[in-house]
Amino acid sequence: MSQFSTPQALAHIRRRKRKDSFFMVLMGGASLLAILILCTLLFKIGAEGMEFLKPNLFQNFPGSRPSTSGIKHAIFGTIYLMILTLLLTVPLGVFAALYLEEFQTRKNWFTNLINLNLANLSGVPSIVYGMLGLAIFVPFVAQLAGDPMKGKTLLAGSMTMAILVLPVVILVSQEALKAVPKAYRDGSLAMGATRWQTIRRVVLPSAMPGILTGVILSASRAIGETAPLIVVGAATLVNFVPQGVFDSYGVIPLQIFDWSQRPQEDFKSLAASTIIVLMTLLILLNSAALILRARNAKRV
Amino acid sequence: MRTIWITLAMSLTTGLVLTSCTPSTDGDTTPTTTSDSTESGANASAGTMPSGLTGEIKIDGSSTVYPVMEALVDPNGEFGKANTGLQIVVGSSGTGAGMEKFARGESDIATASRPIKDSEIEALKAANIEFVEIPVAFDGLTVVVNKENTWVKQMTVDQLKAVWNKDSKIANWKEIDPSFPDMKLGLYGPTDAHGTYEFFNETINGDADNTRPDYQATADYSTMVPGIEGDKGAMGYLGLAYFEQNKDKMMAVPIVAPDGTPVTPSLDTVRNGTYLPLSRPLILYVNKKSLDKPEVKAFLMYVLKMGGPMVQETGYVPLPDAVAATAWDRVEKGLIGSVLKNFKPGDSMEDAMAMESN
Repeated sequence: MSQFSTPQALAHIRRRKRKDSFFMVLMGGASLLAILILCTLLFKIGAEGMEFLKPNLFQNFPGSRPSTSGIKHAIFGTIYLMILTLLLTVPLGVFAALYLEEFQTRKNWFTNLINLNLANLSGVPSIVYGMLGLAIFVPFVAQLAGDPMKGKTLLAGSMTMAILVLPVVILVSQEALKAVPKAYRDGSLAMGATRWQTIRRVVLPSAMPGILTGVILSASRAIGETAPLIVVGAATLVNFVPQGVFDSYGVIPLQIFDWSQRPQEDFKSLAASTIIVLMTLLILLNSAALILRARNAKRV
Repeated sequence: MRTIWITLAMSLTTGLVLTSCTPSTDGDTTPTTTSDSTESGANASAGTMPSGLTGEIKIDGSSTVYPVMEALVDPNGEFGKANTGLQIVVGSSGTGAGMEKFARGESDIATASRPIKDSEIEALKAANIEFVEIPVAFDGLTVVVNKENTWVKQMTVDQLKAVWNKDSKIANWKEIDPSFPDMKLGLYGPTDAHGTYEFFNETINGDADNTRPDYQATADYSTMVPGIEGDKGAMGYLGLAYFEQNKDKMMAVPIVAPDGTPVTPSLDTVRNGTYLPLSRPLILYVNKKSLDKPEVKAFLMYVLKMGGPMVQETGYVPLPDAVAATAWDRVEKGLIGSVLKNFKPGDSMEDAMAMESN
């Protein structure tokens, strides 16, 4: 009989094993809970939202009768807002990341300050960006259009969203650039290419999938945001699709917010249907990001 | 690289595909309701439905008036379908906030659940904005209690004041009336962002900000309804329209009018002026300059002459025809200034509308 099979030792092992399985169950339960909550949410929304998931929802504008109300304005508003936001953010974000990663390679107090700021900015609550947009972009856009009624429009909303996602785009782009092996750059520079040529022909192409993933993820964040847009003037009763950047607009999450606080039950079901549309859009975007990341992983 | 771009392009366009089955511009959806509109034009002796309007109308203000405006401009309703080229934006940032935007020239029409204040008139004067004031509907403020409340048969303004004034310490129904049971009092009301809040406090407690601070203040009514539903000792106040839509969940308390008779709030009692003092006009303030835009004028014509059924559908009380006619007169003549500033519950709206403004 070895010293490991004394009754005390066996009891000790049993105790340890019990502890082990206890924590496994605990952790398994924690992750199961997350899935359970998601499933409940999906099920509840699905059951409630099916009623109004009809062509009307996509073809009509919101009105006072739930049966004929739709989110055509919001679907277009959201897509236009997203495209404009990306047009503003991506060049800015990628250039900033390039500067920080490729040109300011030596870490000094300046780049440290910028990086610290970026990390903090990406955690700032979105409503704060809304206030910033209201104070700066709305009057600016009104000035630009030469009409006080044109301030709270698509352009001001996109600008606000752009600075909201900018820190994230920069951070993700930085990570993507960092992942490009140094040998690529050295090789290119050794061949006599300038820094810009190296970036354009070597670094950017291999960092692109990573950057795109980040861009898509930040686009999906922008789509889901409501708070800052309420502040800078997205409207819930819009009977047209925006035709230009100085037009009023509505977005999907705001429509959900508005309908879900109506006293009529039918509007709440309508909100559920709209949630299904929004979730579908988000899942599509996020899967695109996943696919890109998977391709990226395979190649490197 | 190429394939990545294709993937990206695909994912971005998937969103568009979602909607691509629908016509993408408003121009495509020509109204197919020609027969409808001529029909109703014949019915409504007052006027014909304006159609083919273009341009833009921006409306913002009271969240109490919002459902009315929503019903009036409903893109899927008769007016909306006849005017697909007209862009209308309606906001609901509250009467006070709406007035501020109006004074900054950000809207054509400000909606209000109370008459304009002197300070707001000053602000408009400073901004060189002249306005035309017209009522659009009436609202009855409703005092509500839990469905299972068997003891309240009526309440007087004095009793309401005793409960709601800022120094009130009443915490039990017994303290309101000794005949009431020993039941904890739960108080529910809107936040100060609402015109309903100001109107209730002015009418019951004497001024807009005189209210006890320890009630359950809700920013929107849909959170108030479950509160009252679940609290047997609840008492709250909200707009008649919200009550009408949640009739099955709570009970309205008849209020003793100045002449001593208790009156239950309803469309009829608000319209015939017997539900006092908690009924009020809902008002539109129109920028005089915006009246030069044909679409704004045509819209107001429709609101005043044909809007009644839509107003009624939302649970508010439509204007009597005579009032609507005098109000339309003000629009046509471009009479500026406020006549409702000193309007008291029980005053004749028709007389008020016919008044020269000050």
